[in-house]
Amino acid sequence: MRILNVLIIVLAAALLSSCASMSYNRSIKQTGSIVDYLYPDAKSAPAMTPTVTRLRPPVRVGIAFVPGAGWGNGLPETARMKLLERVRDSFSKHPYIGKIEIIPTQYMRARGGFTNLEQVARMFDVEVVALLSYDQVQFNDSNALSVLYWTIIGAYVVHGDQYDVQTMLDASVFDVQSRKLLFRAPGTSQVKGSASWAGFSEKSRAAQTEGYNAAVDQLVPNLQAELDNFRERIKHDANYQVENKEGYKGGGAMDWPGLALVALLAGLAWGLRRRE
Amino acid sequence: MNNLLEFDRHALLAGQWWRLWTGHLVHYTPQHALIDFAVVLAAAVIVVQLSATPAIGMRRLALALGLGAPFISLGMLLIAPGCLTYRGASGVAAMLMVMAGGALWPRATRSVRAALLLMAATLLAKIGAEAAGYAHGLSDLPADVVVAWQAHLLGVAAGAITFAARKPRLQLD
Repeated sequence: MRILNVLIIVLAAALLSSCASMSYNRSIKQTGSIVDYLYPDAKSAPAMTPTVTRLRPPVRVGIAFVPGAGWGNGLPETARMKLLERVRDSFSKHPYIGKIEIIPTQYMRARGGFTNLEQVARMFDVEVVALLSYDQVQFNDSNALSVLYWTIIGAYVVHGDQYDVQTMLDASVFDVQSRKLLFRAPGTSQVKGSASWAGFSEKSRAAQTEGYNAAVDQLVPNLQAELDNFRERIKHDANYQVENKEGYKGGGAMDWPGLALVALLAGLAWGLRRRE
Repeated sequence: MNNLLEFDRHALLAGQWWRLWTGHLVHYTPQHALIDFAVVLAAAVIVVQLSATPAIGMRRLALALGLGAPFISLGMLLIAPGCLTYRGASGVAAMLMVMAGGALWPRATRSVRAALLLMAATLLAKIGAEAAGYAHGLSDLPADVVVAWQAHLLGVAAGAITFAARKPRLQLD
């Protein structure tokens, strides 16, 4: 009888701990693909006709997350807005960027293509849109400590579950009218941690948000560097043209080249006077 | 005060004609003003110094500034309809640079003339680059201000007219 009792307790403990460790998905994936959004039914590579992209500084920019494939995919909207605000604040100081509009995901239609992008750009009165695609994978595993979950208290105290959240954000900046990709920049992060059975859900959710935040931390300087490269590139690239915007403020500036020219003129005049 | 003096398309068309002149006196930043006025001053000194007498030089300079400034502003009204406001002395500076070059030209040797032609080409190339948008980012103008290349082109045209008007008198000299 005593042996039977011991067997029952061991079996119950094994079942309880296995229930606890099996209650999570081994991996969770959140993804919003730029290709799925812009080219939903593409069977072959999109044909790009060579066109001149006209940029009229200060450029009006929209910034949005690419809509995910299914319901509840990705971050909650409030967290997305906070991330987009961080990106916006980093780029609002540039003279050639007029305003940066944050576009809520509700305005973006999954697999909407350029048609949806153009609608949104018209609605928010922007010329260029920065689309943030994302790919986050969370791996959940139990460690050796999870065996202590059978004690019930262990399920609340012992960190027997661990997570590994890997995030990649990619900002692709498109000119809406020409549908041309102007530049892109990535940001990645990895967040690892452990939690007790009871606190795992909350902690892993926080790790997801932390993963996105860390990826944005890396994305912002990368995007800044790509923006600087792009500014240099368009000076020599005939496919891009910077034009004046209607109703602009004009300034007549001689700048340093003008100053150098007049200095040369003064030098010539001085030489001439000396000779005479 | 700057708002009262700048070139303002709507205010000009409403009859505030002083802006034809005063728009060239106000600037967006101290650096913008410093560079523009440095060019104006240097070119003006060359024009006066190379005139027959300082009095004639001063008279020419006053005439050029009095007529050149509204010429550039009126030109801006005509050829840059999108430009709602404008500040800067660079149009006048461009005019005086051409006048200075023109004053040097009759006395210059062949090599100096070649240098003057090269400088004229550089000035035109600068304006061309501004018109094509390539100079955007090189300018020290504030964030929301676009380089008004039309003012520079009009300044060059005004300087060229002054040079053309001066030529017969030089031949008489």
